[in-house]
Amino acid sequence: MAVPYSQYDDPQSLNLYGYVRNNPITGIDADGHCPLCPALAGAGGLITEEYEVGAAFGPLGLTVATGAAIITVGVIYYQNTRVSPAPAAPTTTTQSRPKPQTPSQPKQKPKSNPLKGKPGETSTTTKPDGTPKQTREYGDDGYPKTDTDFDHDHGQGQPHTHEWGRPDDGGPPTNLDRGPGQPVNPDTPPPQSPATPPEQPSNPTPKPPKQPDNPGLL
Amino acid sequence: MKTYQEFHDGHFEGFWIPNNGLIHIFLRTVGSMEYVFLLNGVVMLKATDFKEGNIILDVSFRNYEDIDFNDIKMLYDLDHDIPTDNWELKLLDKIESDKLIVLEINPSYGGSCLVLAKSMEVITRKEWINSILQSIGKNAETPSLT
Repeated sequence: MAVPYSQYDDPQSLNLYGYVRNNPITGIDADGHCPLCPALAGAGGLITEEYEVGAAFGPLGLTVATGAAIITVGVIYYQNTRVSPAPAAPTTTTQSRPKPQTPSQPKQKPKSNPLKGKPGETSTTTKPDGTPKQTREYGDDGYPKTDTDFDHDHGQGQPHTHEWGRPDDGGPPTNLDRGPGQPVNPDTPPPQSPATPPEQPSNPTPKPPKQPDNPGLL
Repeated sequence: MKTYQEFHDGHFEGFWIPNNGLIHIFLRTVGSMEYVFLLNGVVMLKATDFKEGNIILDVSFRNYEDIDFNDIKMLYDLDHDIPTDNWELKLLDKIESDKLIVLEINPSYGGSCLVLAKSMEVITRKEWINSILQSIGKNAETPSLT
């Protein structure tokens, strides 16, 4: 089998287990294709290169100090210490989606506001399009003081608020301490109960649902 | 993505996992209308922070096209800072090929729930009770516990 990126006038290029053709002092190989790139290309500045490989393997940073310049390079180790010859395609060939950015995947935003926060501060959850769902304001004790709910108008107004109380025993608030929805604007029409049932999803299961052998609930 | 506006400020009353690939989730609207979400072919369920009187912020349903790695990491308690592994890629392919769906319940208070399943159906609590009563009639009588 042919060795990718080999140069037949340089036998070291055929060695898949060597790094920068066995000359790691002067060579940098950012992606496995360029073992002869000059080591001091970034002299005078700070160069940090990041490498991304499959999830089972991790980059190991190697920092070389050269006077005023600091050059940080990444050395990619496979688990069996084989050096990556090239940024290979993912091993699963049936993928229909591009591999996500790793390791810097964007952090998932919380889907709901925590019960406890910093006193006096607010926390807001948003929909995928960035519009707010709920803003929670925390009281002096760090528990919710007011919830302002957006885009959920079913008679309580849009937006509407819920005031939080506190239990008499001084404990943390529970569901019983969350007040009913009230319109932010007092001119909003009075509450109405929803009458329409929820729609079925686009791929409903044919009725009837599979029955358990022993329901045990009733 | 579809959001079930009816359940905002309603109650997430519970779920039942009878170990047959079907999960029953019991929700009630703020107007006291009771429904059961039946999830068939469940791949994974994650439910957290369940309390007495769970208040719903929103309930949403997403098709496979709107399911991403964040959902997988959430379902399997994976750190979002850890690079995506190959099994996650395979699972995302399965989600696409099997056209799986996600039901997500976010709370204003108490429990949240995320379910990855093959399909979902919404029925009223009355319909659900009737179907359960019918199934009791078909099954052998369960002996009392002594």
